[in-house]
Amino acid sequence: MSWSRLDYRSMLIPKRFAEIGYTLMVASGKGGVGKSLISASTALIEASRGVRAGLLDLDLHGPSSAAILGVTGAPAEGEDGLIPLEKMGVKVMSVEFFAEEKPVPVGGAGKRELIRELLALTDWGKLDLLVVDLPPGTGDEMLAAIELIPERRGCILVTTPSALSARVAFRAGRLLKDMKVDVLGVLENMSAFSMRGEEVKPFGEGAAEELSRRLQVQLLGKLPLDPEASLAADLGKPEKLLQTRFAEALSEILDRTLSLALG
Amino acid sequence: MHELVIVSGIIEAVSNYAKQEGGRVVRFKVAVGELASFSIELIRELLRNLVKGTELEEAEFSVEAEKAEVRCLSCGATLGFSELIEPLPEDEREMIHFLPELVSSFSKCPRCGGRDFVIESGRSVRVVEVELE
Repeated sequence: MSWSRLDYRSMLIPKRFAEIGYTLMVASGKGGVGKSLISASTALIEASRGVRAGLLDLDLHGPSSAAILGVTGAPAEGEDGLIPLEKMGVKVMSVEFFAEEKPVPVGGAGKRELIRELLALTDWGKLDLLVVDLPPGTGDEMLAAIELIPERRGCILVTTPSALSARVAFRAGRLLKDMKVDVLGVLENMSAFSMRGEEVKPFGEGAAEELSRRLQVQLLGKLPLDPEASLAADLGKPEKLLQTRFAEALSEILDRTLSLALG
Repeated sequence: MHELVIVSGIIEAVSNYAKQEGGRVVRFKVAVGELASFSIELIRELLRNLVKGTELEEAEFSVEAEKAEVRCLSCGATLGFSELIEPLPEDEREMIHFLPELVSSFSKCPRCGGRDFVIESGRSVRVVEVELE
């Protein structure tokens, strides 16, 4: 007997995703490259344009994208499942809503179970875009997302200008491409900042170009190292985040990158 | 009440399975894991109501409790509901009710203090037997 075919989640997950126009995974190789900020800001920017947007934080051990949007609380139970919390038009689901500040020491198969449950039970309703914030690396969370979100999906690969970050991102990019995920391109974060009118590039340059060349994908653009965006994220002030240079630059990149996917 | 969604998913999964196998379901058995603290009576009641008008309407079904067994990978102890869930306050049990893997966030192994758990059985609701004809 095939137990996976008798698992209620194998029925529920495809139904949930049938209601979602496009799923954008945000991945990287290294941690600390600004993936969660980019994920949360992407959902926020698109929602501000009238797109029905959701944000799913699959960084089980270090969830932060809900905090960036200043979303706290516990999801309510509805007839069709768990109702995501909402901020400025973005529906948000995160393990943080359940575990609060407690650690989530779940490994291997347990992570897959947890992700299956979250995907099966979350009632997003109809969405045009679901942004999935993946943790660094190529572990269970990424593999589960690839397995369980099989259609109308794509991925943005985030790196800093550091050669080390790009080298690790290459592995993630290779896996995604091998698993037939549409890698929309490379997004360079923390590219430069202005000091006394001069542009400073603290992490060098050229690694994102090299990464996109090696993966044969587009370089989608470069995002500034913006202390105002960082502060808005720390404070959980999405309305401030939307007004930053970082958000302005990301908004332009998303215009070009997601126009086809979002119709 | 996410039990409603889970039971709907179970009915659909069993119906789909029978369709794929080209049979009719005579009987099926559902196990309700202790860890998620579902009410067995509620699951039974939901099944009774939701099978009406489906291919499973004539099928017999049973709903039974499944003991929670959680292995601590640090010391090898096998732990049960009374050690892990019973001592917790209601709000924490509620979180495990939604996501059983969070038992490691809220409970520690009473033997060694570890939190490196693997759920061996009694996780949530699952179909354990389907008889077709």
